[in-house]
Amino acid sequence: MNHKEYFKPNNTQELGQLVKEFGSKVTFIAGGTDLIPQMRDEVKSPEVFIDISEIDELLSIVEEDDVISIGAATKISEVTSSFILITHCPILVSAAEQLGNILTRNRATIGGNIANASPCSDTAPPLLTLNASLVIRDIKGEVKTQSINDFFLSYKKTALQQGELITQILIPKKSEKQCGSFVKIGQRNSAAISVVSMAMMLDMDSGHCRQAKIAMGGMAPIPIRALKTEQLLKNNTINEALIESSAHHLAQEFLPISDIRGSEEYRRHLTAVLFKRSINNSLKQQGE
Amino acid sequence: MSKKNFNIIGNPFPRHDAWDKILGETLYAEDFTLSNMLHLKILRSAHPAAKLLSIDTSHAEQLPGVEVVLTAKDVPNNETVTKFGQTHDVGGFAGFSRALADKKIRFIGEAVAIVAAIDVKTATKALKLIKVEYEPLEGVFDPEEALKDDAYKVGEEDTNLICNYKVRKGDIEKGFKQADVIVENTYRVPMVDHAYIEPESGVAWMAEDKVITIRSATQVIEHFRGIAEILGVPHNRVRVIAPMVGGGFGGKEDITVETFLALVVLKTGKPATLTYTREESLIAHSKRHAYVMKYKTGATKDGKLVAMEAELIQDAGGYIYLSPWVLLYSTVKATGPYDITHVKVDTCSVLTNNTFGSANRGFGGPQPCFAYESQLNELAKLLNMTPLDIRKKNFLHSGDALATGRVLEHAVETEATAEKALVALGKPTKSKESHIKIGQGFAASMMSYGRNNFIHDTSRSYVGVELDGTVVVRCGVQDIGCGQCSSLAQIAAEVLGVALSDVSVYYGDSALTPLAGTTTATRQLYMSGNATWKAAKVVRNNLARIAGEQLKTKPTNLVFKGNKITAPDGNSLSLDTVIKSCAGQGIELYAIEQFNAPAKDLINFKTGQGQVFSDFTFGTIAMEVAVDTETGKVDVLKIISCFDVGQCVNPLSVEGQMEGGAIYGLGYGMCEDVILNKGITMTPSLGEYILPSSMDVPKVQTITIESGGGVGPFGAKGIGEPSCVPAAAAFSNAVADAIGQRIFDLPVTPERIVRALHKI
Amino acid sequence: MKQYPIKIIVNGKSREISVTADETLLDTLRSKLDVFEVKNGCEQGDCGACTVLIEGIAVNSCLTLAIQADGKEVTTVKGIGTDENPHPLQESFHKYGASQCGFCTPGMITSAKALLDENPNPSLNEIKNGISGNFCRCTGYTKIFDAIESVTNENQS
Repeated sequence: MNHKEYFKPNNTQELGQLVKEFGSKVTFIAGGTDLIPQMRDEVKSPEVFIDISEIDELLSIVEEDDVISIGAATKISEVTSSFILITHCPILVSAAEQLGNILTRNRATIGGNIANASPCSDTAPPLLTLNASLVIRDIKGEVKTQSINDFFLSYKKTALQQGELITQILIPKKSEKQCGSFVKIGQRNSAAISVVSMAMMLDMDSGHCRQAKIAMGGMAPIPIRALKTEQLLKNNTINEALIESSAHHLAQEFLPISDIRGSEEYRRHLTAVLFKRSINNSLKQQGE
Repeated sequence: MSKKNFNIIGNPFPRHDAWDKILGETLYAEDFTLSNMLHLKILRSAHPAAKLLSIDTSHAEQLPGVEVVLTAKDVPNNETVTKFGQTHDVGGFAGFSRALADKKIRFIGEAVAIVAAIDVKTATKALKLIKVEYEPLEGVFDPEEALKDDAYKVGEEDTNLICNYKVRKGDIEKGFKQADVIVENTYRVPMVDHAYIEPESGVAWMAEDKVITIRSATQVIEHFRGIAEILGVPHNRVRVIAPMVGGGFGGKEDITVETFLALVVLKTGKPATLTYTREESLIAHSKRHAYVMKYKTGATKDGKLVAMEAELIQDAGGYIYLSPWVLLYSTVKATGPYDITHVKVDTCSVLTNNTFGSANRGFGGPQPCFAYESQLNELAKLLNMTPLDIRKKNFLHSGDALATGRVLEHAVETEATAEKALVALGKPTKSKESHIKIGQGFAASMMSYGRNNFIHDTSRSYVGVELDGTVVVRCGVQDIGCGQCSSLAQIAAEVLGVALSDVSVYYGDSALTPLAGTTTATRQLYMSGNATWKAAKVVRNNLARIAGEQLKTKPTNLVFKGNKITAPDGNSLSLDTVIKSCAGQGIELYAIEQFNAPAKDLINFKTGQGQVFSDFTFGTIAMEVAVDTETGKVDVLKIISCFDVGQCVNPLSVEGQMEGGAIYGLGYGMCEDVILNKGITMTPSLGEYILPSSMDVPKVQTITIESGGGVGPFGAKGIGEPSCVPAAAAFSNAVADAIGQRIFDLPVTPERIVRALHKI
Repeated sequence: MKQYPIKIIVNGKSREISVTADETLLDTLRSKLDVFEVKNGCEQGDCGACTVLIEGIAVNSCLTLAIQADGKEVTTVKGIGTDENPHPLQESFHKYGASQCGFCTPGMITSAKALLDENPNPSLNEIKNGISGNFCRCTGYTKIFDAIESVTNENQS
């Protein structure tokens, strides 16, 4: 007989005690918007629920000197209405606004969206381009920081070990020379899983691109950085020819699948289109 | 049209059931509970085509909490042959069906076993303990393949062909010789789902006198006969009650949960409940048929249609259900509301191992509408005519005949609907960006209301007055959200001169309410509306006779209004006074009346000549879209719907039907697709089966024409189904206008748009 | 299965009930508390028929564990208005004919209330976004938009 248990720790100390006691049997739950459907489909069968949705340390959005810290249990609806994030991470806010529908956003959390590691995750591409790091609490209660760029390993597999928990997402504050965009194409305007999504952050200096970060959803088994295309832009002057050739290159960089949402050819086509739009939108912000 | 003097009819009253729904009081099928109900779960086939070798239910039966597990061997009459109509014996075709799978699996959702247990969790666990041995078979998933002689045979016959029809008018070869331009195209439309928000659901129990009572979300309480046959019990021992239904659209027209519940009640004597999961509903219940449609249309240089040849191949899926009827509707409507000199239509319905097709709003109307409305626009393009002009050259008018020879003797206002819709659509919006192209398009349509005439359709209704002057309507009508009940209340209120709130409607009970027939085919306003009207008039006449004596005037001079009966001289009597007077004299204060639709013989299926339907509703939907030519995404900017509804019984309801129908059809045109891969459903959730959300639609503007020329009560025409028929075609035509290319398949998705523009 | 005693305040009334850890709020409301106005449309968070307010926030009750609602105020359409005292949204839904089969209506009104509580004067686009989690298959949304639009800051009590 399966005696499922549920605990709701009030703080990280209580959380630590529970993790110590139950070890790898724990399943963390906050919004539950991914977990509960997975339970119904019997993809996951949690034995011990640890509800982290009301632990203060996981809930705040704090602006420090160089970095923005987002508690992992912050709801997506709170991400979209945060003045700090609207100011400092507008592409993350843009992605959050397009996640699911309003009811989902009222429950789903940013940490949950990352940990679920869908290849079409909405928050992952912006976080990849923002150079985010994840603060992770391990099973012993020790804390480590890992770049999100090393976090997604393969289809729905992340660097999180059983019993580990993302507690914060750290985003370095962007400089004035940085501009970016997020765009998503879905099959409808609400509750749409991305066919293709693209986040971009550019580090510009009067038409000269010092650095580019491009990340995509829906194009690979994981949310992924387009490292090769980034190299084409790096240390180059952005002009029509470069945009055109980079778009073409980006469309070939990945091996997307064909599924019910779109074919491989359509996804590649969208990639080129979204790249041109993203780069032009980003440059407009800089007045380039 | 002269201004009519109605008190209730034609006024936008909220429906009499609206408050209950808005306050959350309405009890739908799943909101009804009995103590100690057994909870059912259905085991469904793991393969779309397979030999069913063995089923071992022993382990499931032994699970604590499981009451019973049933398979085909436990069903008294598992295989039945239904003749379509309101009884088993009226009507043409024979449709073979099984309650539970046996011998050979015919589609992926086919029900193999029923588990009844103390709760859903136990029943779900038990499902996994049932051991089924299948021998997967090759199956056939393409209807054109299925037609071949050497094709895999879905059923037990040596053919997959279910039926075929023809329409022949004139000489088609001669027609094409006369044509200056000819367009020939193949159109493909997919299977789509009703996606009502309420899944299939019901509760059943054994009542006194061994009456198996089923309270379920159904459009047809008269399935009690079919259920009784399957159970091997007398017809009068099965009772079906339809509460308010959370959307039907034809998907709850066939038996869904009822037989499963009844079998468990019969076996165990205990009450039982079953609600399909959404996944189960998307996989296993009926769908709108997929069609392949080959159209060849010829016109003279001034746009006169001289020849239309259409071949329609309908994918019936694994079982017959209502496919022959849907096909018949498609056949009669295959060439649209147009006068065409020479016509050749060939249609056929074919079994495959896909999910079975059956009734879906429009019942075979939307599919050919997509084809003929696309053809008309292609011709217009070649002839340098506007889409409206070519249609005006060819629209049928009252007094003209369809290609089936049937003269349209009632109002035909298609042209007016097209003109008004386009005026309302207005000039194209200006695009703000070079990659966004604006397009406008419209589609005209014809759709029958009322069932086909060789069914000899009837409907009955009871109207009675209480001693305090309130009114009771008892009618077997099933209310699926289109105001079927409320319309009857309005009719009775109008005739008897009372307020809407003075009328109670008791509905949807096969034991206690006069049978009104199915809530299908946009027939209820026409049929039970007319029956109610008749009954109300009988009661009124009885009251008028007595009131006339007392008020010293002819009964025909009396006005029934404001709960009073008033004579021309201004003297009046309150309604309840007259009622009490009648009661004292033993005069009947009630009437049960039957309304009969015109009854015709079966048409000649080889020539398609004859009358199939009582009347049609004609209308137009126009749309404006903004197409992002780089991503293919479409923004729907405007939707205008204009229909001749004859007479609005309730304008609020009529608008609601038109708005809802336009969006229902928009989904068909824009994004809905039950994707099957060799018979396996790839879209088994509402996250994967894409419905339009609130963020995908504009407000729909509605324009009604009230010609008074319908055969429903007060000259009304039906609108429930007609309102959705041209929407997909209108969307497709608007996109074609925007991008200068036509897409010949539905749905017109962003990817298809991008492919059409040759970008990939 | 291990049972947890919890207390949910449903429409202002405290309801004490035992639940398992994995039971959804939707299941508990319907099968243990007879709260039938909250509907089961898909149990996957796609349709919105199960929408309730938890501490005033609109959520899918099918995607919330019952135990997560322990000690919290849960509001359904019956807590938003009554026959004697309907909410202005309910008056307008009635007047505008925004309910046809009615199955989506409780969830729809619940989401609309949450929208207007946060934004008493939404634009049409904001209204569309506010009910973006609720599907309606009957109305085509037009009269629902009209009904919500008609309830503005001035009209709300």
